Amino acid sequence: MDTIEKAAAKLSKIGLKNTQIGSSLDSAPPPLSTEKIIESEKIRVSLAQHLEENGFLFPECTDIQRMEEYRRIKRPLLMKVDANKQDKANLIMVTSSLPGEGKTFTSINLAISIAMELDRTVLFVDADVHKPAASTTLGIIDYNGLTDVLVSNNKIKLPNVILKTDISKVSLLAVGQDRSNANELLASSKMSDLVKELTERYEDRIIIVDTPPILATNEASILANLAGQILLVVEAERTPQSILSEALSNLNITDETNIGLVLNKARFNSKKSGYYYENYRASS
Amino acid sequence: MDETLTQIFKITRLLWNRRWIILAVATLVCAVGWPVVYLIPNKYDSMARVYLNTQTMLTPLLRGLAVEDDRAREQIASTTRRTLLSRPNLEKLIRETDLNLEVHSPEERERLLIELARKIQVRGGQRENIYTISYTNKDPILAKKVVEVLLSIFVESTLGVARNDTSVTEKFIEEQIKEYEARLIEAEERLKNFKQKNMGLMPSDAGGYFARAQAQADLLQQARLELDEAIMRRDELHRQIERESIQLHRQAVLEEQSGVYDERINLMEARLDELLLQFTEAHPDVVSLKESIEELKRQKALSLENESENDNNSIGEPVVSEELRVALSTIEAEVSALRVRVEEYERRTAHLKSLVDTIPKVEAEYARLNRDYDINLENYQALVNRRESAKISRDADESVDDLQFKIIDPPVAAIVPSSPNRPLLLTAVLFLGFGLGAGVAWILAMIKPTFYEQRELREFSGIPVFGTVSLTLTNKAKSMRRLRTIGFILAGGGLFAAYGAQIALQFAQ
Repeated sequence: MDTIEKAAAKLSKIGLKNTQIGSSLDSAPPPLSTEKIIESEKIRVSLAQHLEENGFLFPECTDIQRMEEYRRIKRPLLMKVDANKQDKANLIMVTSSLPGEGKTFTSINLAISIAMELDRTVLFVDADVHKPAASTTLGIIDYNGLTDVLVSNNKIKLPNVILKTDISKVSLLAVGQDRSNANELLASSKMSDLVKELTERYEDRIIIVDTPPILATNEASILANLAGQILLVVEAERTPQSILSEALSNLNITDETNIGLVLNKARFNSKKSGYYYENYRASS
Repeated sequence: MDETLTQIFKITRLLWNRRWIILAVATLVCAVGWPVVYLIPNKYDSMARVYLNTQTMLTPLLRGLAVEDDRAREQIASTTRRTLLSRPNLEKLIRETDLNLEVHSPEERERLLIELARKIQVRGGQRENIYTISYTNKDPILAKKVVEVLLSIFVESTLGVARNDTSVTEKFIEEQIKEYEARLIEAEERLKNFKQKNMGLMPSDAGGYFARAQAQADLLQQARLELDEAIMRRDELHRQIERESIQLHRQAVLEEQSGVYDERINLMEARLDELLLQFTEAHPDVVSLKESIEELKRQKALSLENESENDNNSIGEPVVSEELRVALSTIEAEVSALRVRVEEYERRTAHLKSLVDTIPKVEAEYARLNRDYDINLENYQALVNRRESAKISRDADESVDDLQFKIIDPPVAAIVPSSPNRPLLLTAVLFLGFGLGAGVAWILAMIKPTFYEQRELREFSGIPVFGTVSLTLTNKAKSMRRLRTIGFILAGGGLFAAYGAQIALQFAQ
């Protein structure tokens, strides 16, 4: 079944891609045909498989330790959501200071973990236009997504590009195809409108946004102003303290900012006594 | 405990994370340090051991007389050392080893001599009679030569010393004997003078001053007793004589007086008796006769009374017996004699008393002079004995010189250098390299710290940390890491292999 779905997805992808190539030559993208748009609604991403392949959390995951870690992380985030229903608290931005610290890894796992909650649904958004690792890993790099909505001038709307997956509570918003003017796009009012729409339309939905690193571009700091909560991933033993300082100062944190940190790739846990041993995951 | 363990783990990770830096620094240090170790010039030791018996001659003779054993040995040893490294000897040394050809100025020469004196080691001589001469130089042949030459100089100088030993000793003893002789004579002289000066005050056989004083006091007391006795006896005799003479005198006088009256009374009483034959008591003649008799008796009594009164006022001529008179004169003589004796003794006692200070002093001085003399005599005799035994032993040992010296180990030209200790230095450089590497890594860690624990993150940022995600590796990542570790081990191994090879080489030499 999966294979058939995959094949179908591929076909539709090809169709979309062709359109995309054309648009890159001109400055304005050609409008998409509604057929195509409707077709993307039909797509179900075989998320679980990608997750399992790449070492992420997935619904029947047996790695209890990791499950526990993410449960711990999501708790304060969800509490904020429940407490501040108005304030876009359900839009959680995941970022880091430098590339490679594991924000994509963390954001995806977080999304899955939250999705495992009984009453929650999750929309995962890949906003890392320059290095859309999330989209790539999840196999949705060729789908229309965020950037297309921003570029399209209302032609392409959110419901058209939000992707359903084989995990019922998880939806995906790919990074999209037109990624050349990322900075301006994300800084534009269109983005803030989009954010508004996302947060208001689906109040129960938790939106996890995977953003670029703070010090790589300034999009993250722009997005930080739009997000209700910020989760900053720090890589243990590698990220210098000074870099973190710099990143934090870039974020313009105020008293109203909801920000939390996650220490990733850690080898020590002071709560438990002793040393973590790495979890070697068997791959299939 | 957990804290410490965590700390240790953390430090280990800190260093491991910078392992390449550590290795790089270590390699750099070794690359510089190891060649330096090889550049240090070799130094070679040369050593000779000699048995030298300088003490056999000296020590037994001097034992007890002059100096203790160990100190003597030590002195001899250090004297030997100093003699050996004396300026003339060193000059001789540099001439015979051609070292003097290398110096071109007086200052250089001076420095060479000082350096030699410092570097040449002469040890030993304290416990056994084994001396060790050693010298170190970068030329092994030169080192050997120096020691050889030094050895010959040593032998010459100490043999000379040994040979001198006996004559020195004998001379020493002779001098001592002479000195003691002089002292002896002097002591005798002093004793004699003293005796002369203090003739009367010499302690007699009866004992010292105090004994004499005591004896004198006893004698005095005795004499006084005797005198008192004698006087008592004389007085008693006197009294006896007096008593007797008075009695006799009285009797005589009484007899005389009462003789006259008694005659008449007797006549009258005879007549009375006659009358009474013819007449009665009433007869007037009888009555008148009786009255006359009564009268006469009364007169007799009266005259006797008068006489006895006169008796008390005048003894008159005593009439004594011959015996008593003789006894009296004897006792009188005795008393006078005793008096004289007592006076004499009193005089003597007083005289002694006046000398209460002087005599003991004199006695003490006398004793001291005697002691002095005795000691000198003793020493003198001991020395004379020694001289005799020295003469005997010398005569016996005349030909035993060569037993006094023997080379135990001759000097050789060393093949293996004594310094530097290359293996040690190489190892030291290696340790230094890693140490520095660790130090650099540490400094870097301090300069650019990262986060190892959630707590650190929280404390640093002040922002709540929602959680910690432990490191997981995909298989791909795992094998990548393994490769990198192997790479590092190989690189590190390379350095250690280089080290090991060098050490092996050192020991193979």
